Amino acid sequence: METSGRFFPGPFFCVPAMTRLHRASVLLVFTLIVTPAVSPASEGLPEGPGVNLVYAKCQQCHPISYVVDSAGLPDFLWQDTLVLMKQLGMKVSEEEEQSLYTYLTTYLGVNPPPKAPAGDTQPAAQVDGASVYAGACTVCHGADGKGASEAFPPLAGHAAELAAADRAYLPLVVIYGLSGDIDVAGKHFNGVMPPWEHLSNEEIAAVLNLVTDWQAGDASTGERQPYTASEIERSRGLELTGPQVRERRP
Amino acid sequence: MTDSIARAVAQLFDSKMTRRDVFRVAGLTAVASASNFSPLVRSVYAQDKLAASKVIAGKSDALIVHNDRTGVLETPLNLLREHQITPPDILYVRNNQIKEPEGRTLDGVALQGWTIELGGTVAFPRTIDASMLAGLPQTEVTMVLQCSGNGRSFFARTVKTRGTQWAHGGMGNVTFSGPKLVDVLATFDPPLNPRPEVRYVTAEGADMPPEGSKRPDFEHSLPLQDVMDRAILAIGMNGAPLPGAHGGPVRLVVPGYYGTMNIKWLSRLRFDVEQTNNVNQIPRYRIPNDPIEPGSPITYTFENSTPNWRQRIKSVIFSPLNEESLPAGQVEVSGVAWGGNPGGVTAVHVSTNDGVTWHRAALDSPHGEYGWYNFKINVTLPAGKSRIWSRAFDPVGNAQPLDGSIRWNPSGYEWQGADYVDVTVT
Repeated sequence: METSGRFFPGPFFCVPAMTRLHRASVLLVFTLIVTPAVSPASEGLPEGPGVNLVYAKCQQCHPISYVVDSAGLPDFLWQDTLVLMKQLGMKVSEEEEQSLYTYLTTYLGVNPPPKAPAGDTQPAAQVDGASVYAGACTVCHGADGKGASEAFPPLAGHAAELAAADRAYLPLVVIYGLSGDIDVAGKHFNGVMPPWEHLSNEEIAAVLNLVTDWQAGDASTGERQPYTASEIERSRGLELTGPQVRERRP
Repeated sequence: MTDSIARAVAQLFDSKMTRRDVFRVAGLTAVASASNFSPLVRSVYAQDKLAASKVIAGKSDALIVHNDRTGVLETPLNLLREHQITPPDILYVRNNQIKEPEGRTLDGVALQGWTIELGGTVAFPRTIDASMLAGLPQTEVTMVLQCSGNGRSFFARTVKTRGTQWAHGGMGNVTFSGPKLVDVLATFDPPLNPRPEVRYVTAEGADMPPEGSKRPDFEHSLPLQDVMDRAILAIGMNGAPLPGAHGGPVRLVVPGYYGTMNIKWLSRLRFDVEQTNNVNQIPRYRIPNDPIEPGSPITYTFENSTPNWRQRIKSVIFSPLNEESLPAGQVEVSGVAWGGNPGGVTAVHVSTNDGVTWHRAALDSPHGEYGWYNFKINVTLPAGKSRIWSRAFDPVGNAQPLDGSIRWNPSGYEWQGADYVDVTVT
């Protein structure tokens, strides 16, 4: 068994089917130190048009770091991936698919634009609930908060009722997501809302103030204190799962 | 060893525990009731993913979590190399979809009441209760269980590929036990009697696509010959009942085959004339028969590509680890090698001068032809940076390609490039 030290001469490049490109890549291998394949905790997706749609669609099944780990795929593979994900059950309109493709190939493609320097984000004072809603919520809950089909419950009126019953509940839904059976306005829903924890405290407060202002029909739930950024901050760090948020539903 | 498994399994279903009881014992009732189909949704602010023990109870938090919904967990090499037989708490997991609640625990699952259909192009289809498996002669086999995407991240040396960016830790060396499939079939009267034109066995697990998702169920077709020669219906792992997280109560185990083909939570075996056209048979889980340029697309057909069946010959260096700093002097290089063809591994060669010369390492085979072989060799390295290569050979002459990208494929399956680590000698 002890054969160590025996000498085996061997021609190195002896794979007959090697193309020129393969040969080049072998040389490349010799000049590169391979980067470790394990990523640190994700910093989330790069900002860009369509980013919220990526959060909404991909997080149904993948943690967002999984998507971030795929940064650098050639365009055709992103296209391929979207086709495969549709086969595996992702529901998207043609418009949404185009938007996903544009985002993924631009920001997670082979030549992504340089990242915006840190601290270059919008100051809190300029956060506008309507634009947060348009970017993050419209996809599922509709532009007017009326919901969509059998899958996504309406927010108009319903969010105000929930806030009136327990104002601490809605921040949890946004931060941790929601999963399980619910009944809204006489209709039954059983879906998964992904977590939106990457939104800032200011953005979450602004969008909650928007949706809780919407009334269903002429019902009024009266005056309410607006949500504040510090109130949202206090809801973080609870390690809740979607089903656990469902249990807290008032 | 086999007796102890059979005893443990017998205890499990003799004790009249219902499946619910088993999970109550495991403290998992909450998980079971809270998540019919739903994944454990990401919850830790600023941390992105749940720790491994919260994805599957009992898993070590030292595991790398790739996906915390269905459970995709990788074993770091510094843990993997500590054990000849990989313990369940650090064994990797890759689920496309999970079986709730069985998939969330390392405990065994009761056999009684678990049914498996055997049918397809056969004379007499049959449904068995899994408890009959414990009463048959048990076969024990140690094999390297390896995700077909293991090593995918190394394809990024040329062009990155789609999917979980595994390093080398999507594998482990485990001992399965259970009756051989042929022995199960032999008990049938009248016999199942597959038609002569049958060429494949299509296996399906009880995992389910998310409700309402229209996602196709997960199944794979395997060549009839290998299944009849090798397959066992595993009910034990490493001397204990097969953990739910690894497919318990029953997993189809075909020694030498990539992990994905070893269907967990086995619920049906279909004897088929043709391969299934399920999305997980084509275009997923296959690679081109002929090399393609890295970065180029391919439209898969049954003719131009092969499913992730037999594992390709492979070696992985366990010591030193990549980017380790070493003192000057002699260095022991060690690691493991395995392959999916009968006869396992015949040699592992090591080079410290980028392939100008190769030295044959000492090779030890304590686990049989489908388990991992241990190799080791002493080398002397010059001060400064060195690259240490390893390359395994099988009995029919297959070797690891020096350039793993020769098998580049868009989904990055079946990485088998000759392994290397970069070290610094001070």
